[in-house]
Amino acid sequence: MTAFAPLALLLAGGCTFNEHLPQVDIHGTVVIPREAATRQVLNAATGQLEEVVDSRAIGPVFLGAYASIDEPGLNYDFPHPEIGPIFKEGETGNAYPYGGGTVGRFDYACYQALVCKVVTGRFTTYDDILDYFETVVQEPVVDDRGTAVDSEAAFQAYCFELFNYTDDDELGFLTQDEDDLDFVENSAGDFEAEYDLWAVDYYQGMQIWGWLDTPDEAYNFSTCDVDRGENNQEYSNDYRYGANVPDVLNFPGENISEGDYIISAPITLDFEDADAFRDAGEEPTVTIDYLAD
Amino acid sequence: MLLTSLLMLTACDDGGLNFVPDPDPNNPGIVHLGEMTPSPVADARANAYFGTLGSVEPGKTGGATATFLGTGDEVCVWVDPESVFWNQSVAIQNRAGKYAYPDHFDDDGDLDIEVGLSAFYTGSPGIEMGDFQAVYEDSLGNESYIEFNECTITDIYGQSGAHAGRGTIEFCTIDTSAHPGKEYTIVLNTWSLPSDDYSLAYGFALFEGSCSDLQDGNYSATSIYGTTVNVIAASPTGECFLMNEVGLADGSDDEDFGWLEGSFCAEEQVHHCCVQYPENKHCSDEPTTEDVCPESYLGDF
Repeated sequence: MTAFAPLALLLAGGCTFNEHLPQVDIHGTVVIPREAATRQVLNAATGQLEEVVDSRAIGPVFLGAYASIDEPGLNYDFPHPEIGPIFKEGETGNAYPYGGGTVGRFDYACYQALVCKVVTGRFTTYDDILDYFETVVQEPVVDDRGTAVDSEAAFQAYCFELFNYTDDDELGFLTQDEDDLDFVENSAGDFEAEYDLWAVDYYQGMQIWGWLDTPDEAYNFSTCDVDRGENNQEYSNDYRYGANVPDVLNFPGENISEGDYIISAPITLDFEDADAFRDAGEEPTVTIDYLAD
Repeated sequence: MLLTSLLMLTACDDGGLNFVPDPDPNNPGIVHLGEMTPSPVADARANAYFGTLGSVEPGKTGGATATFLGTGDEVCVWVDPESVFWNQSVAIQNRAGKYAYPDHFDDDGDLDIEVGLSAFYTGSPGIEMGDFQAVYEDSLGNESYIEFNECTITDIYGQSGAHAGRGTIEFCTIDTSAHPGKEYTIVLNTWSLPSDDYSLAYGFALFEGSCSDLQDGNYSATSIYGTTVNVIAASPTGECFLMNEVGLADGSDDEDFGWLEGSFCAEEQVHHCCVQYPENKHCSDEPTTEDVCPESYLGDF
């Protein structure tokens, strides 16, 4: 038995082997202002617009690591990563991010009416979605024949039939546990979520920057393209599931529109190298605070 | 045991060069076509260039280059490599309509287009092929490659970087509005040579406007059955914009290929190969059997 002790120790030690990878996983917190979760809703009884604060209204957050962030006015009217050369008419320069990630992503929620309108990590149940679009967006969900979807059972049955699924766990747009939703209200009344940027190339001095895509009045997001994604040709259907526009972190300025919120004070990572960053255990908190107009 | 080891060592003494064709001095693998002027679309077919490309030394890439001056507007670059290609059907039903007759694989080659400002081209025209990549250094001193190739072809998923396959037309619309009067380089990279003779015939056209303007040129093609189709910048009729690249490039005026190409544009190539001209060398070299050429074809005409 004692003969195996060194081997066991060696195996245990193997789990702590440091590969000194030049890439790092960045975990932190992103804070967005309360206004970004606020929508104007028409009160049918009074005919007045009322403000409703709802974390389900928070769109996808895009975060990336960049060489530097320019002040507003240089290439864009808002803080924006430095860009490479522009060499083609009508195109902008590439921001060449070192890596990045999102908090929430667009997911197809079974009906054409919901293409590019549902973000993961915002809803827990079918009813949650139906309620949100009826009471906050004020565009009740309709099925592909234009008939109102008025029950959780009908919604679920349609999804299961479409995808050949048998469990809600298989649907990315539903978060099973309320505690697992991305955003929670903090003590200041703002909303915050944890983020992960996996395998980012680490360079000393790089900055964490990003933005929140908010929907326009028609509840369309500028970072989602209804003409992309898988094709739905069930029966007489002929549309796509919608998907994120490509290269969104490479060309952020092309995808930021009026009403979006942007990080104005990016976090700089000044650790000498990837090992130093890992050793420090830094978990940067970034605040999205600049309103694009 | 020792003998076996020696034999195995000997077996490793083969670099595979014997599988690579020797360069033919009479048919160079790298050529420069010089400066060209984009034609009006109506004259594009008449002003097209036809040539051949041979093999190059092992380890090098071959191809053709040409230059033109930015017009301040759109310019279409078009290449039609030898010869035509269609898939062999794996369908259970409607095999005739799904190209049951196999294509002749060995006469197909592939040219891929790149176009960019000559200032960014890294090759030496006529001597060595290059690309349009440059290094960009960001403010932290990190380097990224920038692609200055302006011929971006998208695949079926909408992602750029695609190219047409062997024996298939490829074209690009280049917007020169940002650089009127500046020199652009067109690069036709040899992706593959026909394995029957290692000589790749091709047709090449350069005309003013978008490639989709081709339909304004009023080009048409006629199959051996008399079906006439209007040529547009899409498959299959686009194949018949530059007709008979094989015959015109090598001077043989290969009539077999002209007929096959016309039939391909009218989507009658299977019938052409099975029924009308099974001995056409551009049809498959597999034996003509009822399996690939059902009798039902005969009833179609």
